[in-house]
This record gives sequence, C-alpha cells and structure tokens, in this order.
Amino acid sequence: MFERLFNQPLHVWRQATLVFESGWSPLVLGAAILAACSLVVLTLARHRISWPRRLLIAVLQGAALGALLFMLWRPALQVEQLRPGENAVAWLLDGSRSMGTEDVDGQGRRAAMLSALDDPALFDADLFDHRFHAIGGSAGEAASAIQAPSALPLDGEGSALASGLASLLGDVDGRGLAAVVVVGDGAGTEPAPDADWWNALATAGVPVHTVGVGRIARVSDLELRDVGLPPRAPVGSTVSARLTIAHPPGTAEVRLRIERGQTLLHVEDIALDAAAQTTRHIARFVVEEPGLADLRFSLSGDGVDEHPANDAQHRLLQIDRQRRRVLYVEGEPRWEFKFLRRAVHADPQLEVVSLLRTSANKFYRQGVRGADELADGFPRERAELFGYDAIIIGSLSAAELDLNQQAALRDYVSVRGGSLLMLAGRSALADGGWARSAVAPALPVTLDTRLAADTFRRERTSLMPTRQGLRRDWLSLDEPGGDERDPRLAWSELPEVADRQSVGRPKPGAVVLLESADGEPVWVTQRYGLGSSHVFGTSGTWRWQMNLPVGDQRHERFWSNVLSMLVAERPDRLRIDVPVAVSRDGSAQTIGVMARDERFEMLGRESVSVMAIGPDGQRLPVEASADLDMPGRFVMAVPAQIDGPWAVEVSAGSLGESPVGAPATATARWLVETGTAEDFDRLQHRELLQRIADVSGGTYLPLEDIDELPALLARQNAAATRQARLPVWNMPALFLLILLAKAGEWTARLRWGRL
Amino acid sequence: MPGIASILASSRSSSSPSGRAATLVGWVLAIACLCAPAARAADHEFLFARLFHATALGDWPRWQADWPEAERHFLHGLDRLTVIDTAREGIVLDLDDEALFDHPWLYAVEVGAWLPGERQAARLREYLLRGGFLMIDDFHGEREWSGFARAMARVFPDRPVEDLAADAEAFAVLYDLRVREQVPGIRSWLGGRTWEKGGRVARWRGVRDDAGRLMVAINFNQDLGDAWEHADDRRYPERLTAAAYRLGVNYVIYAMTH
Repeated sequence: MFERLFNQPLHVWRQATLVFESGWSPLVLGAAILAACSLVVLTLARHRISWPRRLLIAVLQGAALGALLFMLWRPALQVEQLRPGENAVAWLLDGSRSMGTEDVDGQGRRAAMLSALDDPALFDADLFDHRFHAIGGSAGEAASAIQAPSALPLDGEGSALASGLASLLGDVDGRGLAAVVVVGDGAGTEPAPDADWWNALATAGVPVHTVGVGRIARVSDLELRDVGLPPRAPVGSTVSARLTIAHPPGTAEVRLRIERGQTLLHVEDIALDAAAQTTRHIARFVVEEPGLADLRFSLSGDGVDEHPANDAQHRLLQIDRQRRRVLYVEGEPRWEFKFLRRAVHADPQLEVVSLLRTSANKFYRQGVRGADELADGFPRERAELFGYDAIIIGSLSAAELDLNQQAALRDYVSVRGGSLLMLAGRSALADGGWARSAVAPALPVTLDTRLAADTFRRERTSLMPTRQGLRRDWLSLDEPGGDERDPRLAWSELPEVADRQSVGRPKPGAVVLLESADGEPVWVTQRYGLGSSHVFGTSGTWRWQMNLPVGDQRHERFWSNVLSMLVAERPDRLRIDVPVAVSRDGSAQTIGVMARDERFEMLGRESVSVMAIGPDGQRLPVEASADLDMPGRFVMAVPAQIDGPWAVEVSAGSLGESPVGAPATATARWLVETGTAEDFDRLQHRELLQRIADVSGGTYLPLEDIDELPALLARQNAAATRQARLPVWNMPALFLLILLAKAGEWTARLRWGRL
Repeated sequence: MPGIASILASSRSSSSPSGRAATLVGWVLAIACLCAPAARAADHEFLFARLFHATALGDWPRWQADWPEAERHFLHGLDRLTVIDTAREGIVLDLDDEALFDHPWLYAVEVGAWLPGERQAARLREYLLRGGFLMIDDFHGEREWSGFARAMARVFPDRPVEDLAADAEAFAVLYDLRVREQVPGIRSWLGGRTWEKGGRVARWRGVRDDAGRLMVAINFNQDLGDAWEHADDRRYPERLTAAAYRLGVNYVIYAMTH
C-alpha cells in the first residue's frame, strides 16, 4: 500500500535523500506556500463567515495549493543504486565431512543445503554476479572455486572457514566484492581465529551473511572435546588432565578411562553438569613408568551415542626422572622451614635446595648436588641463580644480599620468568627492609617503608581462599582422585596457622588468593615481567602438620601444590610452541622456538639447530626463520604427513660451568591423526556464525529462512553503486491530497449554502 | 587437665614433712608452668619444653632433675651461639597436654623408671611421627636402660633403637661432633668418675622415622642437663660444659631442619 501511494517502498524513503529537480530552492517553495496561504486568508477575510469556517476553508485550499506547488518543484528521491554487472557475491559453501551429519529434518546437512540452494530466486543476476567456493577440500587448501553448488566436493577432511573467508575478502575476478555468504555448520578445524583476524574482518568493509546448517543443541552425542596435559611429568608424580566434555543436557554421569597401551592407569566416574552441554573436569592420575607415554582418554556413558568416534582422544606425555629444583633461603632456623622440607620430601618431581643461616657466621646447606653448590652463600652469579626453577625467601633481611644480588633476584622474576615466593618472618617483608630493596618493584604488594615496621605477629589465625583463590587448582586440598569437597569447608577444617604478618597493600593488578579470618590479605600474587611473585603472610602452616593426624596429607599436599605451581610457571631456556597437541587435518605444523643462554639472554639464529623426528625415527633438519613479530623467536613449518608421534628437537649454544645449568636441548611432541578432524565439534557453531555476521555488518539466518537472503543482499552490501533520482512528483498521494482537499471544501460549502 | 590428676596422685607418696613441702612447691611451680605455655608460645619461635612424667625417686620427682637452671643456662647459650629466636625460659608439658602438638621440641630426663600408659604412648608416637623431636638425657646403667627400653617399646613396638654413627647428620649440622666424650653429672665428676650406676660407656642412640630422620635422640650414661646447669660452677670443667652445649645446640638445629 505504501509503495502504491508514494511510488517507492518505505526502506527506499528511509535511505534516500529528498531533492528537487526543478533546481529552485526549497526555501522559495516554502515562501511560495506561505504566500499562497496568505492570499487565501486575505480573500476569505472579505467574506462574512465565521472564523472556524474561515479556518477550515483556508486549510483545505492551502493543502491543495501546497501540494500543487510541491509538485511544481518536481520532488525526487536521491538513492545509491547498484551498478549491474560490477558487483559480485561470493558464496562459501562447506563441503567437509561434518556436513554429512544427518540432523536436518532427517536428511544430511549437505543435502539440505544443496536443496535450499536449488532456488534460482536466491541468485539475482541483475544485481550481482554470483561466484561459488568450497571449504572442506584438500588439507591445507583454504577455499577452492567451483562452478555451482552442485559441484561441491564431498567429505573434505578439514574446514578452513577462517582461512577461506580471509582469502575471499578482496576482489573476486577483478570485480568488487559486494558481500560474502557463508553456508555451512561453522565447524572449522583450524585453531580459533585470533584478534587480528577479527579486526581484518571488521575493517574489510564487506558484509558476511551467514546461513547456519545443522543442529544447534546436542541430542545424543557424547564427545571428549579436548584434553589438556602438560608436555612432561616426573616419574611417580600426579598429573592433572583438564578435560572438556560435550554432552546432551540431562546426562548425569560418564565413565573416564585413561590407558597407556594395555595398562589401565585410571578410571573415574565423572558427574556432569546436567543443565549444560559442556562440563570441564580435572582428572588426576599417577604416572609410574618413565618414557614417552601415548595415553588414551576415553569416555563411556549410558544411552545412545550417535557418534562414538569422538569419545576418545590420545595425548603424548613425556615421563622422566628430572626433578625441579627450588632454592629456599632462610635467615634463621624455624619450624616452617623444617616442615616445608618434610612436606615435599616424598614428592618425586621436587627437590628443595636450602640455604639456612644457623649462626652469625654459618650457613647450613641441604639438598645440594655437590660441595660447591651454594658454598659461598646466596648465588652471586646470575647463571647460578637462574638455574633454579623457583626461589623461596624466608625470614631473611634484604641487607643480607648486596645490591647486585637483589637486582638478580628481581630479574629472576622479570627476565628469567621464574617464580619468587616470600614468606613471613621476623626479618621478612617490611620487617626485613625489603620495601627499600631492589626487589620491591617485583613484589605484588607495597610494603611498609618504616624502619621499625614491626608487622610480624605471633598471632594465630585461620586462612580462607578468596573468590580468586577458589579458582586456583593448586589451592585445592582434595586428594587426587578422591571426592571433591566444598573448598571453603575443607579450608575451614584446617588448624589455625601459628603466626601472621601484614603484607602491605596489594598493588593494582595483584590478586589476593588467601585471606585471614579478619579479611586481611595473606597470599598475594602478581605477574611481573615474564615471571610471577608471591607473598605469603604467614610462616605458621607447620601447625597444620602438628595438629592433624599423622596420616593426614593436607599439609603435604598444600606445599607440594605450591611448589609445583611455582616451578610450572617458569619458562625453560628453550621454549618450543606447538600449536596443537593433535594434528588432525594433515596440515604442516608451524612451530615456534625461543632460545636463551644461561643468563636468559636471547640467542641468535646461528646458535640454534632444529631437527624434526618422525614416527619412524627418521630425523629431518628443519630450517628456522626469524619471527618478524617477536624478536628472538624463530618459526618453522614441519610437514607431518605420516600418522603417529612427531617431535621437534632443539639444541642451543654451549653451557657455562654452573653446576645448576639447564639442559641445552629441548624436545616437543605432538600426534598426527589424519582424517579425524571432522569427528569432533560437529554441532552447528551458531555463535561463531552469528559473530562473523555481526562483526562484518552482515546477518545470520538459519537455513529455513534462506529465502530472505536476496532482500538482505540488496540492502546490506558493499557493492559499487551510482546515484539515481527517483521522481515522486507524480505520487498518487499528492493527487489524492489535492482531490480530498477540494472535495472537502466543496462539501463544506454545500452544507453551508455558500457554494 | 589429666596431667594435674597424675601430679596430685604422685604427691601422696611423699613421706617426710620437708619432703612433702618441697614436693608441693615443685607441684605448684609445675602447675604454673603447665598453665602458662599458651602465653609463652606467642613470644618466640623456639620453646624448650620439658616432659613431665609421674615417676619419683623417693620424695623427689624425677622429671625435675636439673630443672629449671639447666634449660635456663642452655637457652642463653642457644640464643648467643645461634640466630634462633628462642625464649629464655623453658616450659613443662605433660603428654596429655592439649598444647603438646604446638611444641615440636621435647626434652625428657631420668626416664629409667618411666613407663607411659597406652594412651600417653600413643600420643607420644603421634607427636613424633608428625614431626616432633624428643631428646632423652640423664639416665644411667643397664637397669635404667631396661626401664626406658620398655617405655620406648610401648611407643614404637616396631622401631628399633639404634646406635648413632659418628658421622650422623645430627653431629654435623652446626658443630663437628664426630668425636665426643662422656658428659657426667657433677656428683660423678666430683667423685672422680665420669659415670654412675654402672654406666661406664656413653652411648648416643636414636629412633628414626621411615624417611631416616631422627625422631628421638637418646643420650645414655650421660648428663647433659647437669653440664648446662653447672655451667657457672667452677668445680665443673668448662670443657664438658662446652661439649654439652654444642651437642644440645646441634640437636636443636637438627630438630628444626629435619
């Protein structure tokens, strides 16, 4: 109706600008209308009729005259119109194996998509040229051009949605790209797009419309989505595996099995979040045999599982005898020192090397590897200090270290990337003068700077994790593999600690993880440079050990967890980044390497050699090139076409004579399992498709609404356009207005007898 | 407090009025010490806790041997020779005391006739296995050894009491004590001997935990407490006092590091 009265649809009126083709100024039009109305009023003033009647006649005659004058000025709508033949729409169709899933009204996704695309009305050739591309083809291929949707390849082993889309955001065959339409389930097998990709999408200026195919909600597929494992673990240690389990809502429980070859390492029943579709769980198991372990994680549950191929995953874990060494320096004999050493004594992955001042002129060393280690007290050489995997400072005043040693301790955190833990004590923190030391900037708190700070008190208090602390696994007191308890309840059952020390004010960016009964921060931590620093405002946890039954392991578990956390965070001299633990689409792995010497200064490319080792043991030298985005980092592409465990071995420059130097070689491993990429993450990724559309200025449509696409393309596009003027002087609404005005005047006059 | 009940029970055995008066004074002081540990615990890192046990030699409670001068002198020395934050006065603890587990160092003397009950033995066993340390001193001769061995067997039926080797870690933590001599009580020394009750040969023995750490350090046929007590007595040789101090300091350092 609107278009019939006003010549053009409403959305055109909204987008258009009203212009006058007469070339006369609109101000003149306004003046002319005013003059005409004035003339009418003056004419009527000479007649002896009442004011209301006079007003009515004036309005009706003014409307008719105004409409005529408006028409005389020749109004038109100025709009941007597409240039036919100069714009293209790129269709990106997903032909990967996941599109074979039969979850669209009983038919497969591909069949449903092709059926929907069989409508010629979708492809208006008057406005756009339509070009078709497929993703989900050969490994490593982002997008391939196809003649028509019917030529879509079948069962591709990977869905390079992000790469495919990126390659299309440009000219298509020399014509401007007006829009991109992605039709598929959005289940890409590449790593998730990074911030740079999203920025490029947003600034490309081309709207991407997405059409989602496939089920959104999980109905009957149990899936072990991901398994997070550290790359290595010491023999006899407890390993934490972070599991992501996708399941239908309402699923209560699944059984997890962890196997190494024929050996069952761990079995556990996992309670799932029945209200959600994804549950995250940490499984803890002990590894006893050294060597490279190929671990199989598998799930089983009650009920039908429509795709059992994704119920299991493999991961590689290097189990070795290497222990992490923690340097613990104490300024006075204390019970906390004794009981901390005892707590981690049996931990196979930890070794505490301690330096304890026993008298004014004597230190007592424990855990040293030889007579020379720490023979001169606190390390004076950076290479020696940087060789430790974590450092604990107890009740030791800052004055015990010279400025170089203090600076080295600070740089241990910022440059070396190590973790520093400072405990409470008579000569610790503020009372030890650390507020004015070179280490102060690295600490997560601002210490009291008074010379006689006197912040250490032998007062008992209980400790409780804060909300942030509850998120830290290492603050869990639960036994691995045991029942998970309310962590607050578990902490409330611990005896009070023997003493406390005010740790000062947490710095911005620092996090409080433990607090006292009266809410004072007790454990505070922050990232500093490449490492992290921690302050623990008590040295009285030994009361846990002495006031709990001898078989109670909570004190031992706490300190094992703390020290394991400290050593886990520090980077090795040689750091190798492998993007995925399992390569499923057969594409080359882009490996990154950072290499440093024993002083943790960057090594040049000439000091680093890299070797790739295939499943068959074949060693292939790999050429590394400098990463232009990150100085000191090298990257290399390792084509891994054979299924099985692959490794990259990196060797760096020679070591010094330090007895605590780190190894000069490092190895990283990953698995290649080609043909399995499409088994995982098979639901439609509605959120991803919606976000792609939102960020690019497009629109998301479910498949059943695909018929709205032509109108969408006409409205939302980046096409090359030209200006056009649509005349509206002859719109029926104007004629109707004149007709109604005159008819109304005639009718009124007839009734008044003044015709 | 169960400890006070045993104190009062043992006091009934005194016969002479003077003996009873001395015993009563001792009990009052002991009770005061038993009630005070919580307050003293707040002041220093190390407190010297002496074990109360209800055995008596006639009118005289055995646990009081050399008390309180022995630990008073020793603690002064500990404070001067090390950087340990130590209280200058000791405390007395009963095995049934609630504060037992807040004091990881325990010292017991005259244990030849000491036989803890099953419950007390279990508490002592729990105390030691959790990380507590017990230094035994001032008992002599085979008869007293038999009595003590019976007590130890009740505490640790399955753990042997072993001789400590000369190079045991406890003898090297601060002072090098690979070579040691018998430290006698002052009466023996003034009598021209270094032994008493037939205990001619000094023994350094101990009980270890599963990790090989010393939990109980036993000084048999020796009297370190007397050497500490008479540190300022010109009749007692400085050499023996120094040896007793060094050994005591080593035990404390060991207890606070293992």
